Amino acid sequence: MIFSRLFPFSIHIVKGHSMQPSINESDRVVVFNWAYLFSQPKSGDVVVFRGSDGRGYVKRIAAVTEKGEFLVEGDNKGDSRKLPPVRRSAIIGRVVGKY
Amino acid sequence: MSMKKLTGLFAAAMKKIEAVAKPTLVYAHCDVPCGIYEANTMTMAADTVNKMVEKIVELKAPGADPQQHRDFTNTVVRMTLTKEEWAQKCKQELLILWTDYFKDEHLAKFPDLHAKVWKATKLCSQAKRTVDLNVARQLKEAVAEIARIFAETKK
Repeated sequence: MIFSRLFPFSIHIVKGHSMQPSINESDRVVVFNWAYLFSQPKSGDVVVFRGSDGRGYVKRIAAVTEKGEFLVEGDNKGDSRKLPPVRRSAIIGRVVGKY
Repeated sequence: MSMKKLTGLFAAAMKKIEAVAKPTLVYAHCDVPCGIYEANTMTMAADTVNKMVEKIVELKAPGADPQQHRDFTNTVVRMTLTKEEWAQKCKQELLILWTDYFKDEHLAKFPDLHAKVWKATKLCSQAKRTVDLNVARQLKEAVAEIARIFAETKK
């Protein structure tokens, strides 16, 4: 996944239900890996990032902390649990489409 | 060209792209990070509520000009809406910690934890209903205290 940033776009298969109804399990999401080259992620953006366990996650940015880290959450509040704040460097790119 | 044909063409094209650029898995759930909690969001929410109350209190009453009146009403509505949203978020975050994170051993160490969370969530509701600096400050303090307890349990 770290090499994703070399290419402007990457495709990912979604596993899990926490982004329903926006993104369903097994949906493919298209990620623009260069979305934040010249701008900062902002609240409301759906992003793919590398979790502390090294795996890729797809979530929506809920807020930016005073330290400049990003609080993320799923759209499906019933299935979305707490995640630690995400650092800017862990964000791979912004989801720009799905199919 | 029919929609069905277009969809078929799109699917075929994406299949070819996927053959070259293999899709990788991304998780929309929290297998591993589940159980990792934080107190930043509720703290930020309580701060926002407090700030909104301060700003509403500081607002100058409009003059006779109807435009001033409209602007004033607009500002009050926006600030109140923000206060409402963040007070609800604060309550939600408190309840997540209360129901999902705090365990019996935490309660043994902090016997008044239930009362403190209960008071803080009540203050969230009170902050929604009122524009009261005292309530907003009490909420901020109550949330800070629970954040402190949360930090203690992490040591």
